[in-house]
Amino acid sequence: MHRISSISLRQKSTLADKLRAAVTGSDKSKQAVLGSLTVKDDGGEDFRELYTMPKRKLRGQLQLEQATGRAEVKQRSRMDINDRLAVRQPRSEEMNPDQEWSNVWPAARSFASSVVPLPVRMGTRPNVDKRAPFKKEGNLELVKIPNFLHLTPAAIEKHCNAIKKFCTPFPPELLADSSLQQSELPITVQYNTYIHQGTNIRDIRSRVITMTIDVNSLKLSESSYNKLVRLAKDRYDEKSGLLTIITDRCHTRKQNLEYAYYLLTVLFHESNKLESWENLEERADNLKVNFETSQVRQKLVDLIETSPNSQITQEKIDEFGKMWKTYRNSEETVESTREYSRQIKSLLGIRA
Amino acid sequence: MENGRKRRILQSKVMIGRLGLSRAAVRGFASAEPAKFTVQPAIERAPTDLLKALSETVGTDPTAPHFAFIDDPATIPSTASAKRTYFMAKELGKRAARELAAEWPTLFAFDRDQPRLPVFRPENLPDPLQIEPTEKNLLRMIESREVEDCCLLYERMRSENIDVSQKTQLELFKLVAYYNSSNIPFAEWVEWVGMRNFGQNDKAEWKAAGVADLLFETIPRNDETVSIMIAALSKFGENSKAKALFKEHTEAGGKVHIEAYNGLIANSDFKSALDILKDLKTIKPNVSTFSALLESASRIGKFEDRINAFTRIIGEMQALKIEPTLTTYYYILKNIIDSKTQKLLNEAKNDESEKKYHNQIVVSISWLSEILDKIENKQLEVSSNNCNVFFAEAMGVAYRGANLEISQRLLKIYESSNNNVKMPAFTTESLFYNRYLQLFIEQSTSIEQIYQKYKDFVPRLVGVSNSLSGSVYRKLSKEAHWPLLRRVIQDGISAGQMTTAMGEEMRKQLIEVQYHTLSVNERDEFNQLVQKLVSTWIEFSKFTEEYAKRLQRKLSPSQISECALLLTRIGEYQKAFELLELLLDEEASHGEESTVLAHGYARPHVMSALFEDSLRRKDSYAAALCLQIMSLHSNRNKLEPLANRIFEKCSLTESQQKIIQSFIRLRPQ
Amino acid sequence: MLRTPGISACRQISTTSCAMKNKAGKHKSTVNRTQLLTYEMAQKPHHIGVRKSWLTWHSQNLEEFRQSQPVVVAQDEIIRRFIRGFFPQNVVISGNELVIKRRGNVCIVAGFLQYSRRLDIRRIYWMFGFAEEFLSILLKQPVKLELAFVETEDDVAYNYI
Repeated sequence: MHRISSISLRQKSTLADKLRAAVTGSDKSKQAVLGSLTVKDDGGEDFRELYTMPKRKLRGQLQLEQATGRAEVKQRSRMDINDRLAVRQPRSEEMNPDQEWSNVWPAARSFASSVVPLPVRMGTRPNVDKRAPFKKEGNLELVKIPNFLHLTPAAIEKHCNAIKKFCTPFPPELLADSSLQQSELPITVQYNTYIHQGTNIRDIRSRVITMTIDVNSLKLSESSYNKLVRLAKDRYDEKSGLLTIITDRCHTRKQNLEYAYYLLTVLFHESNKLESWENLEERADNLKVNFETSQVRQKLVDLIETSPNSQITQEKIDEFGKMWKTYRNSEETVESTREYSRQIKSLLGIRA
Repeated sequence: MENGRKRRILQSKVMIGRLGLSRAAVRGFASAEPAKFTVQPAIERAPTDLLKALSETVGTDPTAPHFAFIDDPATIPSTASAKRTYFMAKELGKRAARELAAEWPTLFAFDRDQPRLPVFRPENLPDPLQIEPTEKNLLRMIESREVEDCCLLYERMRSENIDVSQKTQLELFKLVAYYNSSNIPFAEWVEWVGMRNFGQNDKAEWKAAGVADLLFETIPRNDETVSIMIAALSKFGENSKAKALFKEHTEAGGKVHIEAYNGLIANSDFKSALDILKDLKTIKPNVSTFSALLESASRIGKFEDRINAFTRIIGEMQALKIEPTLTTYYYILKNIIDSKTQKLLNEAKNDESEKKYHNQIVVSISWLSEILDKIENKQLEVSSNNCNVFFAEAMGVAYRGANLEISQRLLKIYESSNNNVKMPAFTTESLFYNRYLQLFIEQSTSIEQIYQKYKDFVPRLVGVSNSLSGSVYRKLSKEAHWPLLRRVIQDGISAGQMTTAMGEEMRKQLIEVQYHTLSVNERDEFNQLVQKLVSTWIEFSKFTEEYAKRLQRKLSPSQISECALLLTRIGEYQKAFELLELLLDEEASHGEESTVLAHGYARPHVMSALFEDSLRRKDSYAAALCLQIMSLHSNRNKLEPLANRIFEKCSLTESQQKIIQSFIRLRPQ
Repeated sequence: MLRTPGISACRQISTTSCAMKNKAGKHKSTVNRTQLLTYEMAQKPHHIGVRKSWLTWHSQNLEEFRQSQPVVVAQDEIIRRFIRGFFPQNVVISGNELVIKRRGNVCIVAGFLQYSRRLDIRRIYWMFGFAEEFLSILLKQPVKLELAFVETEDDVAYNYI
């Protein structure tokens, strides 16, 4: 059915229009209405209009209107109206300002703009004063970043209070006196656990065990200490006195731990054993240069005997011996050399 | 731990590295002297204790939907039917994916998960006609409770003459008798929660000549098997057969177990139940016996006799020191009120039946309050599948008795941490909360409290329904509260109430709102709400295409007039009068593309309100329009004073006045 | 460069200016400002890490944790293609508005979907259930969809050029 909309004017005959017509004059009333010509001719037939153009907008005109954006878009009702009506208000509007936030966001979750009641904006703008950053709804940047809404200080406090009952107190004696740890707990074992994102939870690095032992607590004699140092080679750090054993030889952490203890035990017992060939040791085999058996000491002792007036005494020689030992066994520096010269001069009574 | 012995003293130092955790344990040597520091032994904890402790810090979020739903404004369900639909839709999607994966395992062969997770490798159930007919397979099927598959496999084994041991046969018999040779009912499904919640089985009838009967004949009869058979027959309604079997067995000198007695008692009337009880002698009755007794007592027709029977049973339980469970209370509460009396009341409200009903309600409320006293601070555990329905039934009784205090006590008991009996979420629990909310709305005096409660419960626990909205509107008619009204209307829109009678109610409530008492924000909200409602109604009326006809809801004249009034209230005069012009437009109400209902008329008081408003604004055209509409259904006498008022208020030219007068003169007397 | 037959094959030097411009991630402006740009699209690629953040987050790019880097990249691609193909009408801007996060074992797909021309919420729920289950079984790890709904593409429009 063709609708004549723009060409003809449907005459509304409401009272209001009549009133309007009365005011604005009679132009409107005089407008001719097409199709109202009902003059019948002699034969009783209706006037047949000459057909020149159809009484609708032609395709060209419609396309022109669409292209220029002046088309009369007929608003069609959409079929999904019931589902569209079911959309509720964002629930941040119904939230009580006094609510517990940890109930709303108990675990990690991507940002949901309908749930977070804060008016946040995120994003750059060329000119921030002219146009504010992008709004909260539909903002992908807010979704991308990891948010910590589940770890507010109040939530953390709640979690801590809930877990407290499983915790035992740290030994207070250790807290008070930190040196106790060195004396009472000489062995330290370290191992790592690795967490991965993805389907695989295994990491081969978690089998490695690092064990550090304070060698002083082993209470070894001089010779066994030396033997231990020789056996351990670069695992022993002389400055700190720590023996470090790193094991990754076995497949599992437990096996590596047991192996580390085994190595410690073996080291200890081996260093305590005295082999028969160990008494073949000579001065040249010592790890550190010895003062007791050195020629310097011999000469100094001879000096005591040969020159009875000298101030050289046994104690002074021992004191000199200590300094000499550190001098000979550590890297030579200017200060240590000066110390040497000072001591020898004072020992021999040479001034300046 | 003594001093002289070797001791392991372990102590942890936690250092956190980059995405790695390193722990250091420090060990002490064997020492003869006492340790210089004390280490408290670690507190024993199960693997999940920490998680449980953390989860207890999380309470309920009153605005959130159930966790099964997608938490987005578009996808939160507002009505109970929407909840069911969405939940089932999601589950069916999951099932489709899982069936696909079970059917084509080679397409899902990505294998890098350590440790291997079998949950992501779904398998089809073994087909009883294809797998090997061994006893092991049969036992495995019995374990997984695939009843019909078990029956098929057993029959196949029988037909192939494969031996089945007595023990297996007994196991199979137990399974098949309990489930009546058909698959387990929906309420017992483990994997698919939706079907478990919403699935409804038909009332089962005993399958005669099924595998159960077959097995009963084959395996040797003893007390146990006979008891099982009696109990199964009673469960599925074959009372006569059960009684016959019972008689036969007792006459032959056998003893029957307590479960069979329970079954028999539950299905007989009270007198015979008491007779059966006398038979018990040495067997101790348990809670289920008394529940069965209550079931049979509930069939007593007369109210007083029934109450007496209930009292006797409870007294007996107390004497035997058997603790009544929620199931027993459920049976009592359900059956105090006569269903016949209720029907009479609904049909013909006369004093006689009302008094009777009232009496019964009072009795049930008193029983309920006693029950609540008993269970108030006790630890409640599940004993049968009717325990949770107790709460819903109790709330129903409280609702009928209009007793708010009892309902609040009941709610507190349900939500306390002592209670381990929980109702299934979308069916029974929503009924419970719905009744509570309705009761609260009807009985509460403070509208602010109603608002808070409404916000707490809807739509998380209670779906929007016509009765709920109706009761809120009734309360709002007495006392105005804009936030509550706005919330109820919005919920109504989401629940699809706009096209029902509730739509009319919404309009009525909005018209009654005193616009000048609202604050600026509230006025904005009012404007938006009215605009949304009106545009939606217009959109509904515009579904004129053939395929959309079923969705169309044409505008009725009263609807148009009320919408126009609302629009004028918010100041949209243009739109209002465009809408009113539809009433005068012939084309809009007739023909294929009609959007207005042909019958009905604009409400008179609304039209007069519009008329007054247009006069106030001195808008003569608007007044003329109102006049014309009013003239459709009234005669000259009523119209003349109106016309005179127009002449007074608005300045009209001569010709205009003449037009109006001639118009009126044309109207009939 | 013109190559006419007959010219001897001597080395030829290109003397025109560079014609192979880098076009990735850049959008041309239109005459009447109808090209919708989301915030993502509006920032040029060299702003990644500066003005725009990453669309996938996983630890397989770190030096010591590269256990399954190529597998994760492939998984991301699978997820994106699946979502784009499975929600054809609902995807925004041809599926670029998806963020993939990983928390331990779980893979989470966040982002935006639009109501299509015919919004059907039951269908959406069905598709969510199917997609989650399907992707979980495919990748052997729990996959959760945390997609939010946006009414039309204009709601994510940052700018029109």
